[in-house]
Amino acid sequence: MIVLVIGGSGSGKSEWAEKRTLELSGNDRKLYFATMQNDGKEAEKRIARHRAMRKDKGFETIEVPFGLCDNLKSIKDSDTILLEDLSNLAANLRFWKDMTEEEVKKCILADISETSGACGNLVIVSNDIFRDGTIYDEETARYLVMLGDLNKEIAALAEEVVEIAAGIPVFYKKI
Amino acid sequence: MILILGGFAQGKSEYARKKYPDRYILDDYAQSFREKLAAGEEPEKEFEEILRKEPECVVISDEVSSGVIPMDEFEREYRERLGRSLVKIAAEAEHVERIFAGIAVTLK
Repeated sequence: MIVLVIGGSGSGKSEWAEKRTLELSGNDRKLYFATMQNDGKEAEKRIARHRAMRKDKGFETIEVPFGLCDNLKSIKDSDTILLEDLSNLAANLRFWKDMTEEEVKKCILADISETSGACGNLVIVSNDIFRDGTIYDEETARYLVMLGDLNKEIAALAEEVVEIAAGIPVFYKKI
Repeated sequence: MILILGGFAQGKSEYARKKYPDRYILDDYAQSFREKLAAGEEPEKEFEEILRKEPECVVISDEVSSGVIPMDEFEREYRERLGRSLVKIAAEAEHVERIFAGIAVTLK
């Protein structure tokens, strides 16, 4: 099944998504699909914080900054995958690989549908970056629409959709 | 302790005053957090002190983290640290509510 976890910055979404992943995986394998590229001090700090959080929880980390499908062969149907996170993956494809918004959407949706078909559970972390009332430049606005579209499409596929507010889950979809 | 969250101008203070007239109300938590951070202070520690004196307080805070990652480093730190502080407060609170258009939704 697909679980979509959405939250703002510092909302506790990663902690919650990890906890959910551990619940779903039981004694089976847990894969952490990491999307963040280490491009400076802040990214380093963030990566270190997340590594410390995952320590001793039995995650296998796989770097997937530009997509998931290269790893399809190594995925088992008993695996639970935590993909962190959608906005990073989308930004990497859009700005590093110079794909158009439409290409990014197609690529990520195809990836997610194949990956979720191959594994047991796919927990996807995404960001709520849509409510600051600011009017952005055209490129940023297009990125926002793209991420909004991805959130909507994945939410439609997902069995569980949850917003994390101050560490507390608010369910929009639940089995 | 009780935590009341919500966007700007949603009726949080009015709700808190009506529902908890006898409690100490710590309003504008986000705003004072920002000011303390800007002054180089440690807002998390200062809150702990207030909580020691007023363990039954009602904390009211704007939710500010649902936007694009700011370009400015201070703004990024502010959102992140306020967010983590609210996660901690929510975990310790007996009750957490979110006000949307004046209507309260119980989160905890």
